[in-house]
Amino acid sequence: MTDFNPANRFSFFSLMFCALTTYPVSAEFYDNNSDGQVESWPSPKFTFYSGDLIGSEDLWKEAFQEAAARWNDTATGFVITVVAESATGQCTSELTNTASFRDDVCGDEFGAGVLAVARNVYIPVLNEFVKSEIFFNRAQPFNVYDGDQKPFASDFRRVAIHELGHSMGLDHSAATDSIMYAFSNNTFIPKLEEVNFLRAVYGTRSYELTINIEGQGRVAIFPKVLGTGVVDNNIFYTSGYSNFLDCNQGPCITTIQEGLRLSLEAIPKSGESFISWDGTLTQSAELSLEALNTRRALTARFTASPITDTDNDGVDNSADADDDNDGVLDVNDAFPLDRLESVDTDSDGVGNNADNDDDNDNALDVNDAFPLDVSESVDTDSDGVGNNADNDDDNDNALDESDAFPLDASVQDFSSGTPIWLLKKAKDLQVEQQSK
Amino acid sequence: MKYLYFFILLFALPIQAATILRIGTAELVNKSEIVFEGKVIKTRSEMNKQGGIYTFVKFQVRDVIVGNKNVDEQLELRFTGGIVDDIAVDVGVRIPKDGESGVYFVERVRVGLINPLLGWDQGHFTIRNDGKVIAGNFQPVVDIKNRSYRSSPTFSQGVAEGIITRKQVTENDSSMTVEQFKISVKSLVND
Repeated sequence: MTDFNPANRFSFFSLMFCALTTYPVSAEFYDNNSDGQVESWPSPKFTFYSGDLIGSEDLWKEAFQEAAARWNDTATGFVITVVAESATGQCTSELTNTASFRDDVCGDEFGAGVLAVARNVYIPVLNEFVKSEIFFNRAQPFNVYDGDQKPFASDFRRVAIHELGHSMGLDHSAATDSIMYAFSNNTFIPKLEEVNFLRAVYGTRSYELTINIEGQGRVAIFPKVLGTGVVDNNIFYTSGYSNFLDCNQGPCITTIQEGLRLSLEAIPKSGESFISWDGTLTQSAELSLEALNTRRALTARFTASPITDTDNDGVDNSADADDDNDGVLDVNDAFPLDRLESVDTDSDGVGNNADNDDDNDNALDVNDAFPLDVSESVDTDSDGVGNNADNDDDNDNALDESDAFPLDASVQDFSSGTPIWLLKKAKDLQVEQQSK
Repeated sequence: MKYLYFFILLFALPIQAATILRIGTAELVNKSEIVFEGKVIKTRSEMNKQGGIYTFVKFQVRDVIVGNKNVDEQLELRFTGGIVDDIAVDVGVRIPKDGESGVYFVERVRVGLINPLLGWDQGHFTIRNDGKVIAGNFQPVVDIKNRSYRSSPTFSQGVAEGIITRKQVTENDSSMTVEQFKISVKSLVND
């Protein structure tokens, strides 16, 4: 964890900014065409039109967009914008940057095994690029996938990342785990060497972020997502970055590189609650820096949580396992804040203590032999088995179905001539009388 | 705005960088229209109407290793890129330079390809003054093994699969002479 405060502004963001002048970049990396000059774009940005990456619905366009995002995530000064629209001007003097599937490159055939070509146009006297076009060979099989290259289909996204690197002016790298190393390892994210090249040539764009804190709490800042680039002490991290900034007392002022995708989390102290962020529309305790408005200033507001101690036992409800002190733990208590209630059998919102028909079977509890059993309410012979389940309600050893008086133990009638329906009717009549 | 484009085009030069699949020595030898040892005797660059610049490289052919033996003693290949007056074009591939000696694996002699050499740098070997052969990764070739395309495609780093190179070179190293190189290449020719 890295603490920072107004007196000490050398956070890792500051370090990566200060490191601008000391990037270790091999000389050949600057010189993408071995002509002794370093060509670069006059301003650190370009827009690519990807509308002609037609096919597989929008798979190729999305993959190209993702390829651009991989570079943008490195948070160098260079920003790639991708517009999923077609543009004219391929192989002409129009200064539009396009990515497309083609059968040729401005009339020339790709040749065997050529997957893609980045064609940059530059002005030699200025060493400035003015146009870049990426041609993907339509005759080559592509797919989009993670992991090692698969037989007979190259990963389009990796090729796109690689070619966009050329478009920005990067040469092939000798580092085997580099995206600019021309072979098929499982590399999706630019390496420090490549990032440093772009930072050295195009610089970085940064802004000051001020975090204020009202109330008792702190703000932690993390890399936003796996794969997002974070530069700490001049080392470029892409994943598994566990360090974070911690603003314990505002105002905290730090320098942040434009484009870095970070997450801020407002963490209240014990007994405090997070209320809101001032300076952004997002009010969740977790906030993406992408959601910042132009103020570049945020205030995390906390407030003291009201103390709640229902049973006045001196323990706040948030820490009390039995808030109403009724002997029933809150986790088992249907009414954890009501010491008079803890059970609601029929879930009618009225606790059993106040409910005169706990099981909601229309037999009032005072008349109900089974007040908590919605399926039973009468037990004529008091044998513990409700009449609905008992086959000899009066316990006279004559089964109810053969007993003309099933609820009267003094009368046994096994006369086979008595219709069953009449026996049942007599039973129902007796039950009704007993209920009353 | 059009005038601006023309103005820019006048001083603007295309360069190219490509992603190329790595090929094997079997394909390098057998898919080349011609493989020859030669020396560059002349280069000239021209700009076409679209603003593209091509360099025409004329070779003195010393030996046809693979392919049509009846090729002229002088062979001209067209590469995309070059220098015309004060304007330079770099296509991201190495254009053979004046005076350069080498072994060239030509995908197709007639014009129409961005780079006539098969696999770009993979088909471009130079011969050092001591007669040793240097591969597209600027390292001496020490051995050639018979290799085909991998089932999983890899991208070219300038050297075909099966071309064995060595970083450190000494005077009495084991790197191949051009004659040894040519013998190995011929041994890979399919009947």
